[in-house]
Amino acid sequence: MKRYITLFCLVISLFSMLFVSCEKEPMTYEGKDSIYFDVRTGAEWIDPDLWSHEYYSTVSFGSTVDDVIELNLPVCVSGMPSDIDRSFTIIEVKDSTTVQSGDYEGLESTYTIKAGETKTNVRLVFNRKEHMKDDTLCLQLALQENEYFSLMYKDFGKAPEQYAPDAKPEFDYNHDGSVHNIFVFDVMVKPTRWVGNDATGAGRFGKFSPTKWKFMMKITNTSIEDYASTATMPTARQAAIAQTCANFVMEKAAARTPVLDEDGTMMYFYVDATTVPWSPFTKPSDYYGHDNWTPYEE
Amino acid sequence: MKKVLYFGLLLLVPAFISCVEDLGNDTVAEINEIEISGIEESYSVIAKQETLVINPEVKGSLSASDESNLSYEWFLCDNGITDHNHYTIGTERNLSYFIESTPANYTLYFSVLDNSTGIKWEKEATLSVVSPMVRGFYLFGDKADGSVAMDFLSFIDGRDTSVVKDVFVNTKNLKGAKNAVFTGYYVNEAMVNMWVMSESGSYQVDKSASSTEVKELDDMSNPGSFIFPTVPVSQPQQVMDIHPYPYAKTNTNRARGARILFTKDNVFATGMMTLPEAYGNPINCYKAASADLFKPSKYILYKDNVASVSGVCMFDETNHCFVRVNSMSSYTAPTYCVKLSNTGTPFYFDQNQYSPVRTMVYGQNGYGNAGRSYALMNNENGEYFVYQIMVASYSSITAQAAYTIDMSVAEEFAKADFYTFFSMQPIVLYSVGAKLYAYDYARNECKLVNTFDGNITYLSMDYESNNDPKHIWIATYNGSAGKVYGYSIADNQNAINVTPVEHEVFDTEIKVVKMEYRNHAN
Repeated sequence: MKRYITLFCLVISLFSMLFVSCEKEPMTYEGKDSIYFDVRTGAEWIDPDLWSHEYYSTVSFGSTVDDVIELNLPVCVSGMPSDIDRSFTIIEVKDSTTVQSGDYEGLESTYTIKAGETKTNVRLVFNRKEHMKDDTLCLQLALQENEYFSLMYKDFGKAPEQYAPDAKPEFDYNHDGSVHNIFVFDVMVKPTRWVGNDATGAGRFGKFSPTKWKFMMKITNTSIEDYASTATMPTARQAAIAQTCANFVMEKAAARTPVLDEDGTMMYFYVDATTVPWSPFTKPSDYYGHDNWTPYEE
Repeated sequence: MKKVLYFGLLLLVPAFISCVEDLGNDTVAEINEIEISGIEESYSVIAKQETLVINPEVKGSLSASDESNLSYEWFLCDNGITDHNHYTIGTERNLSYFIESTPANYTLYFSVLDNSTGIKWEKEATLSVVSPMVRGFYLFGDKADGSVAMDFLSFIDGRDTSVVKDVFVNTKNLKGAKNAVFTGYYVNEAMVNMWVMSESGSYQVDKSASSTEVKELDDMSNPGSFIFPTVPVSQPQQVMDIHPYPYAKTNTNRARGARILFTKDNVFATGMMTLPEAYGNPINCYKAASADLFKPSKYILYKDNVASVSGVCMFDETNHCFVRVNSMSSYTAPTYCVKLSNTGTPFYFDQNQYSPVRTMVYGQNGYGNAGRSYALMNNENGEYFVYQIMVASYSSITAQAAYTIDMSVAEEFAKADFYTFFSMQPIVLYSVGAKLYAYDYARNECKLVNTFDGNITYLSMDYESNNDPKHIWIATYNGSAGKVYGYSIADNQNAINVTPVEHEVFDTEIKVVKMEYRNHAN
């Protein structure tokens, strides 16, 4: 019977153990904090913590009339805020940099992560220069390891829940968090409110080309910004621009001084009622049936 | 063994634990039960116009009609429209509440508190607060000090027509009322617009019927925000009118396809298929995007007996010629005009064919006569002519009939301040100061209809509010107060018979320059 009593007590003891647990002290963070570029982009309505971490930045003079563009590069550190100011430096990586002296300014010799903080901002100002036209230049910046910071994030990936970064193979190849590439270009890119098909040449504005866009802006006294949104470039304004441009190129074509696009074909605009009397991508020689014409020059 | 037994007994102890139910006692005190009567299940009242009067009966089972221990509260519950709010509207047994509440459906509560017991007794009803500004006419004009103002002539089924006073919030201190346009509704709420135009500027205003105030919203005086010409035009291009006007009693928006906008100097057009509403180059020219602009007449002609407009006719005051537009649809809004030409029967579209040349004095569209439009012309000799024009489509515009006004019969015709054509018969009504004339230009008979107690400030046939092409609105102003009269003209080819419509006399403090119809619940 004693055996039963012992067994019974053993069962009770084991059962009691279910209600016993241990509290383990979690390990605090150890090691040197890592510093990295944390350029983020995202829509206003999205939580900024979920914005995508971008592997590069761009400075596009082709989509603005401003001669100066400001760029802000957030720099963050891992770990807890420190009680002291912590300085760090950024260098321009000469081997990977093609921007010239004076193309930008604002890179300071030392930056500081202030006590109690874990981030700061690197503000650069880029200046439009003639040599930027139709070219893509690169400025590569690299954070430097020091007594406060290591450079651990050599392959910065997308965090869970975070939006994916902008994918562009020619620009997004660097995933080292301590390095940031800034691409500077003055290449006109097709604006949001361009209405035309590049493949067929159809549509009010037809195929996009920087030459054509510049021509349109000059003829209609419009600016790059005007083509950026529906508010500034509603359908009716697109039609008005196409009308004026069509009138101009038809007038010049009648005078045998056709306005030519970059590819040597006659500029095409579609207007509801009085569209230009030639198809997209028409060569002047085909239109006139002879070579007795000279290209229009401003 | 005993230990096991004791241990087992210990485990059995909880089995003997149970609850004792508190059964209370049977002593019940009789309370004063309140009975509320005399409240209907539902009420419907007009916001800012009517007073809700309810006189309920309250009886207590113990207190009978003794109210000394009772407190009352009337309140409205907005049923969660704006965060579920309650509004107290009375604290007496009898309610007399002038409706200040926003038009909406409410639950009306009458709450009786028996202070002796602390028990509340309630009775509820539904209360529909109706906007007076769903259907009726905006009376747009100036007050005595010249500031722009607006009343609303409210039509509500089952009630007398009434005037809601001073509904315009003139925050910009606009002066010199010119025009008011409400586009009406068709399918797309985003295409419903209302504008007011004055000497101080043109504004898009709050079109909502749920409010009893018309508020200024967007300054339309600077059309750089929605007119984007690529040819030089004089600035500012102040908006003066929007066409086509809505159709008939339903207030169908006819400016939902191609919309035509008149500024001080030019005419613009756009297709409404793509919003936001915006305009490109002026169309008062003979080639798209031409800088060679003609001066357009402020009148535009189109078929007024159809719910959709497929063409318009305008008059070129520079070249003295009627013109059509090159296209007219949602996708292909007009971009330029084309001069109309014909053989001169019954009249020339090209007024240069006449010597002296004729120009357009007044234009109007009509419901009767198959939707013909009317153009009143004159020349430098002081002669006046009536042209009847059919605008079947943008490419089919025909001259229908022409008449000469006999100036020796049509008294003071050249002095007229306002004209309006009766579309069922060849009769034109016109006003000179306080006098209203009617002239049958086919039978050459003129009649003085009435001399009012103030100068006529607005005169117009009204087909739209009642689908009756015989109805006329006349507004007068005597320097300090205005009146609006409804008249009717008989559809009689043998006589002019213009009579006042019974009960259609309304007082206003406004010098009315435009009566603009609306019939839209939103």
